[in-house]
Amino acid sequence: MAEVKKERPDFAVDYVKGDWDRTTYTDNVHIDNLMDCVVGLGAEVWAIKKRNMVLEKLLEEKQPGLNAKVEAYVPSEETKVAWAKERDDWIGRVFAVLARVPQNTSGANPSAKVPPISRS
Amino acid sequence: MTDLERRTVLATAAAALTGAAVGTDEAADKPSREVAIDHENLTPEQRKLMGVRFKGLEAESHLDFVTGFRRVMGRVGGNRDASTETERFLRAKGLSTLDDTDLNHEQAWNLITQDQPFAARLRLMSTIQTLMWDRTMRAMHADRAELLTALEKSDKSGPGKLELNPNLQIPDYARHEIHQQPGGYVGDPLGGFVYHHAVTQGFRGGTADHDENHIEYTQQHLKPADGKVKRVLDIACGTGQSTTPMKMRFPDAEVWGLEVGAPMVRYAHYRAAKMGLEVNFRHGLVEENGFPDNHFCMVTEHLMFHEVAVENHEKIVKEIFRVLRPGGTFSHHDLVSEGNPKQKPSHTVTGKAQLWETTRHNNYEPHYLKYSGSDFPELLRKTGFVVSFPDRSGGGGTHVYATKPV
Repeated sequence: MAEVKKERPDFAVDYVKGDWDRTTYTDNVHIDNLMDCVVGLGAEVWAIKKRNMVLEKLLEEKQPGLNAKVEAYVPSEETKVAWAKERDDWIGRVFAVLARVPQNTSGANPSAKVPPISRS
Repeated sequence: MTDLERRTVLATAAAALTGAAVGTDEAADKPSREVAIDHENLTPEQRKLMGVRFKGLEAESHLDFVTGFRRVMGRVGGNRDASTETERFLRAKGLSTLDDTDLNHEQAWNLITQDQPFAARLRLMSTIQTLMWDRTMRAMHADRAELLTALEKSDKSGPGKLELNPNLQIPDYARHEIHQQPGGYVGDPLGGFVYHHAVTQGFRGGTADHDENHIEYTQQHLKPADGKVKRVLDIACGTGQSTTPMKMRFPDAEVWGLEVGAPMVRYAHYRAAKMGLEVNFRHGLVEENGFPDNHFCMVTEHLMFHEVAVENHEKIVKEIFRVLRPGGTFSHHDLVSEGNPKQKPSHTVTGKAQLWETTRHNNYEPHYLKYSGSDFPELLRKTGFVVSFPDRSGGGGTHVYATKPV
Protein backbone atom coordinates (compact mmCIF):
# COMPACT_ATOMS: atom_id res chain seq x y z
CA MET A 1 0.00 0.00 0.00
CA ALA A 2 1.40 3.34 -1.04
CA GLU A 3 2.27 5.70 1.76
CA VAL A 4 -0.04 8.66 1.96
CA LYS A 5 2.02 11.78 1.54
CA LYS A 6 1.51 14.24 4.36
CA GLU A 7 0.26 17.59 3.19
CA ARG A 8 3.10 20.10 2.99
CA PRO A 9 2.93 22.87 5.61
CA ASP A 10 2.22 26.19 3.95
CA PHE A 11 1.76 28.33 7.10
CA ALA A 12 -1.50 29.85 5.83
CA VAL A 13 -4.21 30.36 8.46
CA ASP A 14 -7.88 31.33 8.59
CA TYR A 15 -8.61 34.84 7.42
CA VAL A 16 -11.52 37.27 7.48
CA LYS A 17 -13.22 37.42 4.09
CA GLY A 18 -14.00 40.93 2.89
CA ASP A 19 -17.27 41.95 1.27
CA TRP A 20 -16.25 44.74 -1.13
CA ASP A 21 -17.26 42.55 -4.06
CA ARG A 22 -20.90 42.83 -3.01
CA THR A 23 -20.92 46.60 -3.28
CA THR A 24 -23.12 48.38 -5.78
CA TYR A 25 -22.07 51.89 -6.75
CA THR A 26 -24.58 52.84 -9.41
CA ASP A 27 -28.38 52.87 -9.27
CA ASN A 28 -28.55 49.57 -11.09
CA VAL A 29 -26.46 46.51 -10.25
CA HIS A 30 -26.45 45.50 -13.88
CA ILE A 31 -24.57 48.65 -14.73
CA ASP A 32 -21.99 47.78 -12.07
CA ASN A 33 -21.72 44.29 -13.46
CA LEU A 34 -21.40 45.50 -17.03
CA MET A 35 -18.65 47.91 -16.01
CA ASP A 36 -16.79 45.06 -14.34
CA CYS A 37 -17.22 43.01 -17.46
CA VAL A 38 -16.08 45.71 -19.85
CA VAL A 39 -12.97 46.48 -17.81
CA GLY A 40 -12.19 42.76 -17.67
CA LEU A 41 -12.57 42.56 -21.42
CA GLY A 42 -10.27 45.50 -21.81
CA ALA A 43 -7.55 43.63 -19.90
CA GLU A 44 -8.04 40.56 -22.02
CA VAL A 45 -7.99 42.50 -25.28
CA TRP A 46 -4.86 44.36 -24.28
CA ALA A 47 -3.13 41.09 -23.34
CA ILE A 48 -3.98 39.69 -26.76
CA LYS A 49 -2.88 42.82 -28.58
CA LYS A 50 0.41 42.83 -26.69
CA ARG A 51 1.05 39.17 -27.44
CA ASN A 52 0.29 39.82 -31.09
CA MET A 53 2.74 42.66 -31.16
CA VAL A 54 5.43 40.44 -29.64
CA LEU A 55 4.65 37.62 -32.08
CA GLU A 56 4.64 39.86 -35.09
CA LYS A 57 7.98 41.32 -34.10
CA LEU A 58 9.52 37.91 -33.62
CA LEU A 59 8.05 36.54 -36.82
CA GLU A 60 9.22 39.50 -38.77
CA GLU A 61 12.73 39.08 -37.42
CA LYS A 62 13.02 35.30 -37.77
CA GLN A 63 10.80 33.87 -40.47
CA PRO A 64 8.82 36.29 -42.60
CA GLY A 65 6.74 33.51 -44.18
CA LEU A 66 5.21 32.43 -40.89
CA ASN A 67 2.64 35.21 -40.84
CA ALA A 68 0.86 33.58 -43.77
CA LYS A 69 0.96 30.19 -42.03
CA VAL A 70 -0.68 31.70 -38.96
CA GLU A 71 -3.61 32.79 -41.11
CA ALA A 72 -4.00 29.30 -42.56
CA TYR A 73 -3.46 27.27 -39.38
CA VAL A 74 -5.82 24.36 -38.53
CA PRO A 75 -5.47 23.03 -34.95
CA SER A 76 -5.31 19.32 -34.07
CA GLU A 77 -8.14 17.71 -32.09
CA GLU A 78 -6.01 17.77 -28.94
CA THR A 79 -5.32 21.43 -29.43
CA LYS A 80 -8.98 22.11 -30.06
CA VAL A 81 -9.84 20.57 -26.67
CA ALA A 82 -7.17 22.59 -24.92
CA TRP A 83 -8.34 25.78 -26.57
CA ALA A 84 -11.94 25.08 -25.63
CA LYS A 85 -10.89 24.86 -21.99
CA GLU A 86 -8.96 28.07 -22.40
CA ARG A 87 -12.05 29.72 -23.89
CA ASP A 88 -14.27 28.56 -21.04
CA ASP A 89 -11.79 29.76 -18.43
CA TRP A 90 -11.69 33.12 -20.17
CA ILE A 91 -15.46 33.42 -20.27
CA GLY A 92 -15.59 32.59 -16.57
CA ARG A 93 -13.00 35.24 -15.75
CA VAL A 94 -14.73 37.98 -17.69
CA PHE A 95 -18.45 37.23 -17.76
CA ALA A 96 -19.20 35.41 -14.49
CA VAL A 97 -19.50 38.78 -12.80
CA LEU A 98 -22.66 39.49 -14.77
CA ALA A 99 -24.47 36.98 -12.56
CA ARG A 100 -23.41 38.74 -9.35
CA VAL A 101 -26.15 39.43 -6.79
CA PRO A 102 -25.43 42.49 -4.63
CA GLN A 103 -25.95 42.59 -0.88
CA ASN A 104 -26.11 45.31 1.70
CA THR A 105 -22.64 46.27 2.98
CA SER A 106 -23.51 49.11 5.34
CA GLY A 107 -22.28 49.13 8.92
CA ALA A 108 -19.23 47.40 10.37
CA ASN A 109 -16.65 45.43 8.43
CA PRO A 110 -17.02 41.61 8.47
CA SER A 111 -15.34 39.71 11.28
CA ALA A 112 -16.11 36.05 10.52
CA LYS A 113 -13.06 33.93 9.74
CA VAL A 114 -12.90 31.48 6.82
CA PRO A 115 -10.36 28.72 6.08
CA PRO A 116 -7.16 29.48 4.13
CA ILE A 117 -7.36 29.67 0.38
CA SER A 118 -7.74 26.21 -1.15
CA ARG A 119 -4.72 23.94 -0.79
CA SER A 120 -5.76 21.67 -3.62
CA MET B 1 20.18 31.14 -16.95
CA THR B 2 19.77 28.73 -14.04
CA ASP B 3 18.63 29.89 -10.63
CA LEU B 4 22.12 29.28 -9.24
CA GLU B 5 23.68 31.41 -11.95
CA ARG B 6 21.13 34.12 -11.33
CA ARG B 7 21.93 34.15 -7.62
CA THR B 8 25.62 34.47 -8.40
CA VAL B 9 24.94 37.44 -10.60
CA LEU B 10 22.79 39.01 -7.93
CA ALA B 11 25.35 38.44 -5.20
CA THR B 12 27.95 40.10 -7.41
CA ALA B 13 25.57 42.96 -7.98
CA ALA B 14 25.01 43.23 -4.22
CA ALA B 15 28.74 43.48 -3.66
CA ALA B 16 29.00 46.17 -6.32
CA LEU B 17 26.12 48.03 -4.75
CA THR B 18 27.62 48.14 -1.29
CA GLY B 19 30.85 49.55 -2.67
CA ALA B 20 29.41 53.02 -3.18
CA ALA B 21 29.76 54.03 0.44
CA VAL B 22 29.72 57.62 1.62
CA GLY B 23 31.52 56.74 4.86
CA THR B 24 33.44 53.55 5.65
CA ASP B 25 34.83 53.79 9.17
CA GLU B 26 33.88 50.73 11.20
CA ALA B 27 35.31 51.93 14.50
CA ALA B 28 32.74 51.75 17.31
CA ASP B 29 32.81 55.45 18.07
CA LYS B 30 32.47 56.54 14.46
CA PRO B 31 29.32 56.86 12.36
CA SER B 32 28.26 53.72 10.55
CA ARG B 33 28.96 53.17 6.88
CA GLU B 34 26.06 54.49 4.84
CA VAL B 35 25.30 54.06 1.14
CA ALA B 36 23.35 56.61 -0.88
CA ILE B 37 21.00 55.25 -3.54
CA ASP B 38 19.26 57.48 -6.07
CA HIS B 39 15.83 55.89 -6.55
CA GLU B 40 15.28 57.84 -9.76
CA ASN B 41 18.58 56.78 -11.33
CA LEU B 42 19.25 53.21 -10.30
CA THR B 43 22.45 51.71 -11.67
CA PRO B 44 22.25 48.57 -13.84
CA GLU B 45 23.58 46.59 -10.86
CA GLN B 46 20.86 47.98 -8.61
CA ARG B 47 18.15 47.24 -11.16
CA LYS B 48 19.40 43.65 -11.37
CA LEU B 49 18.94 43.37 -7.61
CA MET B 50 15.36 44.55 -7.52
CA GLY B 51 12.12 44.22 -9.39
CA VAL B 52 10.10 41.20 -10.40
CA ARG B 53 8.53 39.89 -13.60
CA PHE B 54 5.61 37.60 -14.17
CA LYS B 55 6.54 34.25 -15.60
CA GLY B 56 4.08 34.65 -18.44
CA LEU B 57 3.23 37.46 -20.83
CA GLU B 58 -0.53 37.25 -20.28
CA ALA B 59 -0.52 38.09 -16.56
CA GLU B 60 2.12 40.73 -17.15
CA SER B 61 -0.10 42.26 -19.82
CA HIS B 62 -3.12 42.24 -17.51
CA LEU B 63 -1.16 44.14 -14.89
CA ASP B 64 0.19 46.44 -17.59
CA PHE B 65 -3.43 47.18 -18.40
CA VAL B 66 -4.08 47.98 -14.71
CA THR B 67 -1.20 50.45 -14.76
CA GLY B 68 -2.48 52.14 -17.91
CA PHE B 69 -6.06 52.18 -16.73
CA ARG B 70 -5.17 53.91 -13.47
CA ARG B 71 -3.06 56.49 -15.24
CA VAL B 72 -5.61 57.34 -17.90
CA MET B 73 -8.86 56.97 -15.95
CA GLY B 74 -7.35 58.64 -12.90
CA ARG B 75 -6.69 61.70 -15.03
CA VAL B 76 -10.22 61.61 -16.43
CA GLY B 77 -11.70 61.42 -12.92
CA GLY B 78 -9.70 64.41 -11.81
CA ASN B 79 -10.33 66.67 -14.78
CA ARG B 80 -12.22 69.96 -14.72
CA ASP B 81 -15.45 68.57 -16.16
CA ALA B 82 -15.61 65.90 -13.47
CA SER B 83 -14.85 68.36 -10.67
CA THR B 84 -17.42 70.84 -11.95
CA GLU B 85 -20.07 68.16 -12.19
CA THR B 86 -19.43 67.00 -8.61
CA GLU B 87 -19.52 70.58 -7.35
CA ARG B 88 -22.83 71.15 -9.18
CA PHE B 89 -24.27 68.04 -7.55
CA LEU B 90 -23.21 69.10 -4.05
CA ARG B 91 -24.39 72.71 -4.55
CA ALA B 92 -27.84 71.35 -5.31
CA LYS B 93 -27.70 69.71 -1.88
CA GLY B 94 -26.53 72.92 -0.19
CA LEU B 95 -22.93 71.64 0.13
CA SER B 96 -19.59 72.15 -1.61
CA THR B 97 -16.49 70.15 -2.45
CA LEU B 98 -14.44 72.77 -0.59
CA ASP B 99 -16.25 72.94 2.76
CA ASP B 100 -15.91 70.66 5.76
CA THR B 101 -19.01 68.68 6.61
CA ASP B 102 -20.60 67.26 9.76
CA LEU B 103 -21.69 64.16 7.85
CA ASN B 104 -19.87 61.06 8.97
CA HIS B 105 -17.79 59.12 6.43
CA GLU B 106 -20.44 56.60 5.52
CA GLN B 107 -23.09 59.31 5.16
CA ALA B 108 -20.74 61.28 2.90
CA TRP B 109 -20.20 58.18 0.74
CA ASN B 110 -23.93 57.47 0.55
CA LEU B 111 -24.56 61.05 -0.50
CA ILE B 112 -21.84 61.38 -3.12
CA THR B 113 -22.64 58.06 -4.77
CA GLN B 114 -26.08 59.46 -5.59
CA ASP B 115 -24.09 61.46 -8.13
CA GLN B 116 -23.93 58.79 -10.81
CA PRO B 117 -20.82 59.99 -12.67
CA PHE B 118 -18.94 60.07 -9.36
CA ALA B 119 -20.30 56.63 -8.46
CA ALA B 120 -19.23 55.28 -11.84
CA ARG B 121 -15.68 56.50 -11.28
CA LEU B 122 -15.55 54.78 -7.89
CA ARG B 123 -16.91 51.64 -9.53
CA LEU B 124 -14.16 51.66 -12.15
CA MET B 125 -11.38 52.15 -9.63
CA SER B 126 -12.67 49.38 -7.38
CA THR B 127 -13.09 47.11 -10.39
CA ILE B 128 -9.51 47.64 -11.53
CA GLN B 129 -8.26 46.95 -8.00
CA THR B 130 -10.16 43.66 -7.88
CA LEU B 131 -8.92 42.74 -11.34
CA MET B 132 -5.32 43.43 -10.33
CA TRP B 133 -5.45 40.97 -7.43
CA ASP B 134 -7.52 38.39 -9.28
CA ARG B 135 -5.24 38.16 -12.30
CA THR B 136 -2.10 38.14 -10.14
CA MET B 137 -3.46 35.43 -7.88
CA ARG B 138 -4.48 33.28 -10.84
CA ALA B 139 -0.99 33.59 -12.30
CA MET B 140 0.79 32.70 -9.07
CA HIS B 141 -1.46 29.77 -8.25
CA ALA B 142 -0.95 28.34 -11.73
CA ASP B 143 2.62 27.69 -10.53
CA ARG B 144 1.61 26.82 -6.98
CA ALA B 145 3.64 23.63 -6.53
CA GLU B 146 6.77 25.18 -8.00
CA LEU B 147 6.52 28.30 -5.85
CA LEU B 148 5.83 26.39 -2.63
CA THR B 149 8.87 24.23 -3.33
CA ALA B 150 10.94 27.37 -3.83
CA LEU B 151 9.78 28.71 -0.47
CA GLU B 152 10.50 25.43 1.31
CA LYS B 153 14.02 25.41 -0.09
CA SER B 154 14.55 29.05 0.75
CA ASP B 155 13.23 28.76 4.34
CA LYS B 156 16.38 26.93 5.37
CA SER B 157 18.90 28.87 3.29
CA GLY B 158 20.81 32.12 3.79
CA PRO B 159 22.55 34.44 3.83
CA GLY B 160 20.03 35.87 6.34
CA LYS B 161 17.91 33.68 8.59
CA LEU B 162 14.18 33.13 8.81
CA GLU B 163 12.38 32.45 12.11
CA LEU B 164 8.93 30.96 11.53
CA ASN B 165 6.45 30.36 14.34
CA PRO B 166 3.69 27.94 13.31
CA ASN B 167 2.06 28.42 16.74
CA LEU B 168 1.85 32.19 16.52
CA GLN B 169 -1.48 33.44 17.87
CA ILE B 170 -2.52 35.91 15.19
CA PRO B 171 -5.07 38.48 16.35
CA ASP B 172 -8.21 38.85 14.28
CA TYR B 173 -7.35 42.43 13.32
CA ALA B 174 -4.48 41.09 11.21
CA ARG B 175 -6.55 38.53 9.34
CA HIS B 176 -8.41 40.86 6.97
CA GLU B 177 -8.08 40.90 3.19
CA ILE B 178 -6.24 44.21 3.21
CA HIS B 179 -6.25 46.09 -0.12
CA GLN B 180 -8.68 43.43 -1.37
CA GLN B 181 -5.77 40.97 -1.57
CA PRO B 182 -7.35 37.48 -1.61
CA GLY B 183 -6.60 35.78 1.71
CA GLY B 184 -4.92 38.90 3.06
CA TYR B 185 -1.41 38.53 4.49
CA VAL B 186 -2.14 35.33 6.38
CA GLY B 187 -4.60 33.20 4.39
CA ASP B 188 -2.91 32.55 1.05
CA PRO B 189 0.29 30.49 1.15
CA LEU B 190 1.45 32.37 -1.94
CA GLY B 191 0.40 35.73 -0.53
CA GLY B 192 3.94 37.12 -0.69
CA PHE B 193 4.34 36.27 -4.36
CA VAL B 194 0.89 37.68 -5.09
CA TYR B 195 1.55 40.91 -3.21
CA HIS B 196 4.96 41.65 -4.69
CA HIS B 197 3.93 40.89 -8.26
CA ALA B 198 0.79 43.00 -7.95
CA VAL B 199 2.19 46.06 -6.23
CA THR B 200 5.32 46.47 -8.32
CA GLN B 201 3.20 46.51 -11.46
CA GLY B 202 -0.05 48.02 -10.32
CA PHE B 203 0.70 50.57 -7.61
CA ARG B 204 1.98 54.09 -8.07
CA GLY B 205 1.18 54.20 -11.72
CA GLY B 206 3.65 51.45 -12.53
CA THR B 207 6.68 53.47 -11.47
CA ALA B 208 7.78 51.07 -8.74
CA ASP B 209 8.87 48.13 -10.87
CA HIS B 210 12.24 48.09 -9.14
CA ASP B 211 11.07 49.11 -5.68
CA GLU B 212 11.92 52.74 -6.37
CA ASN B 213 9.11 53.77 -4.04
CA HIS B 214 10.58 51.88 -1.11
CA ILE B 215 14.10 53.05 -1.76
CA GLU B 216 12.92 56.64 -1.85
CA TYR B 217 11.51 56.69 1.66
CA THR B 218 13.94 54.29 3.34
CA GLN B 219 16.80 56.54 2.26
CA GLN B 220 15.16 59.29 4.26
CA HIS B 221 14.37 57.41 7.47
CA LEU B 222 15.85 59.27 10.43
CA LYS B 223 19.10 57.82 11.73
CA PRO B 224 20.36 58.43 15.29
CA ALA B 225 22.10 61.73 15.91
CA ASP B 226 25.38 59.91 16.64
CA GLY B 227 25.18 58.20 13.23
CA LYS B 228 25.71 54.74 14.74
CA VAL B 229 23.47 52.12 13.19
CA LYS B 230 24.35 48.64 14.39
CA ARG B 231 20.88 47.09 14.31
CA VAL B 232 17.72 47.97 12.40
CA LEU B 233 14.22 46.58 12.84
CA ASP B 234 11.63 47.03 10.09
CA ILE B 235 8.23 46.29 11.61
CA ALA B 236 5.37 44.83 9.57
CA CYS B 237 7.88 44.30 6.81
CA GLY B 238 5.53 42.40 4.49
CA THR B 239 7.52 41.16 1.51
CA GLY B 240 10.65 42.90 2.74
CA GLN B 241 10.64 45.65 0.15
CA SER B 242 11.21 48.21 2.88
CA THR B 243 13.70 45.98 4.74
CA THR B 244 16.26 45.19 2.06
CA PRO B 245 16.82 48.88 1.21
CA MET B 246 17.82 49.44 4.86
CA LYS B 247 20.51 46.75 4.50
CA MET B 248 21.63 48.40 1.27
CA ARG B 249 21.77 51.77 3.05
CA PHE B 250 23.61 50.40 6.11
CA PRO B 251 25.59 47.38 4.78
CA ASP B 252 27.33 46.69 8.10
CA ALA B 253 24.19 46.76 10.22
CA GLU B 254 22.24 43.72 11.43
CA VAL B 255 18.87 44.20 9.76
CA TRP B 256 15.64 42.46 10.81
CA GLY B 257 12.19 42.36 9.29
CA LEU B 258 9.22 41.46 11.51
CA GLU B 259 5.91 40.35 10.01
CA VAL B 260 2.73 38.68 11.23
CA GLY B 261 1.87 37.01 7.91
CA ALA B 262 3.89 33.82 7.38
CA PRO B 263 3.28 33.78 3.61
CA MET B 264 4.59 37.33 3.43
CA VAL B 265 7.67 36.87 5.60
CA ARG B 266 8.62 33.62 3.87
CA TYR B 267 8.58 35.47 0.57
CA ALA B 268 10.53 38.37 2.13
CA HIS B 269 13.28 35.96 3.12
CA TYR B 270 13.17 34.24 -0.28
CA ARG B 271 13.49 37.58 -2.03
CA ALA B 272 16.32 38.89 0.17
CA ALA B 273 18.25 35.63 -0.29
CA LYS B 274 17.85 35.91 -4.06
CA MET B 275 19.22 39.44 -3.82
CA GLY B 276 22.23 38.11 -1.93
CA LEU B 277 21.51 40.37 1.05
CA GLU B 278 22.01 39.19 4.64
CA VAL B 279 18.70 40.29 6.10
CA ASN B 280 16.97 38.37 8.92
CA PHE B 281 13.24 37.89 9.21
CA ARG B 282 11.04 36.96 12.16
CA HIS B 283 7.44 35.79 11.92
CA GLY B 284 5.77 37.50 14.84
CA LEU B 285 3.78 40.35 16.33
CA VAL B 286 5.23 43.79 16.90
CA GLU B 287 3.37 43.98 20.20
CA GLU B 288 5.08 40.78 21.43
CA ASN B 289 8.25 40.74 19.35
CA GLY B 290 10.69 39.02 21.73
CA PHE B 291 13.67 41.27 21.00
CA PRO B 292 15.76 42.51 23.98
CA ASP B 293 15.44 45.95 25.57
CA ASN B 294 17.50 48.77 24.03
CA HIS B 295 18.48 46.50 21.15
CA PHE B 296 17.92 48.48 17.97
CA CYS B 297 19.34 51.77 16.75
CA MET B 298 16.52 52.31 14.27
CA VAL B 299 12.97 50.99 14.04
CA THR B 300 11.28 51.69 10.72
CA GLU B 301 7.68 51.39 9.64
CA HIS B 302 6.00 51.69 6.27
CA LEU B 303 2.21 51.90 6.21
CA MET B 304 1.52 49.61 9.19
CA PHE B 305 -0.40 51.54 11.82
CA HIS B 306 -3.37 52.36 9.59
CA GLU B 307 -3.82 48.59 9.11
CA VAL B 308 -3.80 47.89 12.86
CA ALA B 309 -6.81 48.24 15.17
CA VAL B 310 -6.22 51.44 17.18
CA GLU B 311 -6.82 49.57 20.44
CA ASN B 312 -3.41 47.94 19.86
CA HIS B 313 -1.47 51.08 18.99
CA GLU B 314 -0.41 51.96 22.54
CA LYS B 315 1.01 48.51 23.23
CA ILE B 316 2.89 48.51 19.93
CA VAL B 317 4.36 51.97 20.43
CA LYS B 318 5.53 50.96 23.92
CA GLU B 319 7.25 47.93 22.42
CA ILE B 320 8.97 50.08 19.81
CA PHE B 321 10.17 52.36 22.62
CA ARG B 322 11.39 49.36 24.65
CA VAL B 323 13.49 47.78 21.91
CA LEU B 324 15.12 51.06 20.83
CA ARG B 325 18.37 52.08 22.48
CA PRO B 326 18.62 55.56 23.99
CA GLY B 327 19.08 57.94 21.09
CA GLY B 328 17.51 55.39 18.76
CA THR B 329 14.95 56.52 16.21
CA PHE B 330 11.54 55.41 15.03
CA SER B 331 10.53 56.49 11.52
CA HIS B 332 6.76 56.40 11.08
CA HIS B 333 5.89 56.51 7.39
CA ASP B 334 2.18 56.07 7.09
CA LEU B 335 -1.06 57.59 5.92
CA VAL B 336 -2.12 60.83 7.51
CA SER B 337 -3.77 60.92 10.94
CA GLU B 338 -4.85 63.76 13.19
CA GLY B 339 -2.16 65.52 15.18
CA ASN B 340 0.23 66.09 12.30
CA PRO B 341 0.81 69.84 11.77
CA LYS B 342 2.09 69.26 8.22
CA GLN B 343 -0.93 67.39 6.89
CA LYS B 344 -4.43 66.60 8.11
CA PRO B 345 -7.16 64.21 7.00
CA SER B 346 -9.79 65.81 4.80
CA HIS B 347 -13.16 66.63 6.36
CA THR B 348 -14.94 67.63 3.15
CA VAL B 349 -17.75 65.53 1.69
CA THR B 350 -15.56 64.16 -1.08
CA GLY B 351 -12.60 63.64 1.28
CA LYS B 352 -14.72 61.74 3.78
CA ALA B 353 -16.40 59.75 1.03
CA GLN B 354 -13.04 58.81 -0.46
CA LEU B 355 -11.77 57.68 2.94
CA TRP B 356 -14.89 55.55 3.45
CA GLU B 357 -14.38 54.12 -0.02
CA THR B 358 -10.76 53.30 0.76
CA THR B 359 -11.40 51.76 4.15
CA ARG B 360 -14.57 49.89 3.21
CA HIS B 361 -14.35 49.01 -0.47
CA ASN B 362 -11.64 49.93 -2.98
CA ASN B 363 -8.51 49.45 -0.90
CA TYR B 364 -10.29 47.60 1.93
CA GLU B 365 -8.45 48.79 5.01
CA PRO B 366 -10.81 48.08 7.93
CA HIS B 367 -8.78 49.96 10.57
CA TYR B 368 -7.81 53.00 8.52
CA LEU B 369 -10.83 55.12 9.45
CA LYS B 370 -10.17 55.00 13.21
CA TYR B 371 -6.43 55.46 12.65
CA SER B 372 -7.15 58.54 10.55
CA GLY B 373 -9.16 60.06 13.40
CA SER B 374 -6.57 59.27 16.09
CA ASP B 375 -3.76 61.55 17.23
CA PHE B 376 -0.83 59.24 16.53
CA PRO B 377 1.93 61.81 17.14
CA GLU B 378 0.47 62.46 20.61
CA LEU B 379 0.63 58.74 21.38
CA LEU B 380 4.34 58.82 20.51
CA ARG B 381 4.88 61.76 22.87
CA LYS B 382 2.92 60.12 25.70
CA THR B 383 5.14 57.05 25.36
CA GLY B 384 8.26 59.15 25.86
CA PHE B 385 9.44 59.90 22.34
CA VAL B 386 10.64 63.28 21.13
CA VAL B 387 8.58 63.86 17.99
CA SER B 388 9.40 65.85 14.86
CA PHE B 389 7.76 66.34 11.48
CA PRO B 390 10.13 66.44 8.49
CA ASP B 391 9.43 68.48 5.39
CA ARG B 392 9.10 65.54 3.06
CA SER B 393 6.47 63.35 1.55
CA GLY B 394 8.53 60.87 -0.45
CA GLY B 395 7.09 57.44 -1.10
CA GLY B 396 3.51 58.51 -0.57
CA GLY B 397 1.92 59.06 2.83
CA THR B 398 3.27 61.24 5.59
CA HIS B 399 6.30 61.06 7.84
CA VAL B 400 6.80 61.42 11.57
CA TYR B 401 10.15 61.01 13.30
CA ALA B 402 10.41 59.89 16.92
CA THR B 403 13.59 59.71 18.98
CA LYS B 404 14.07 57.89 22.27
CA PRO B 405 15.74 60.34 24.65
CA VAL B 406 19.32 59.57 25.70
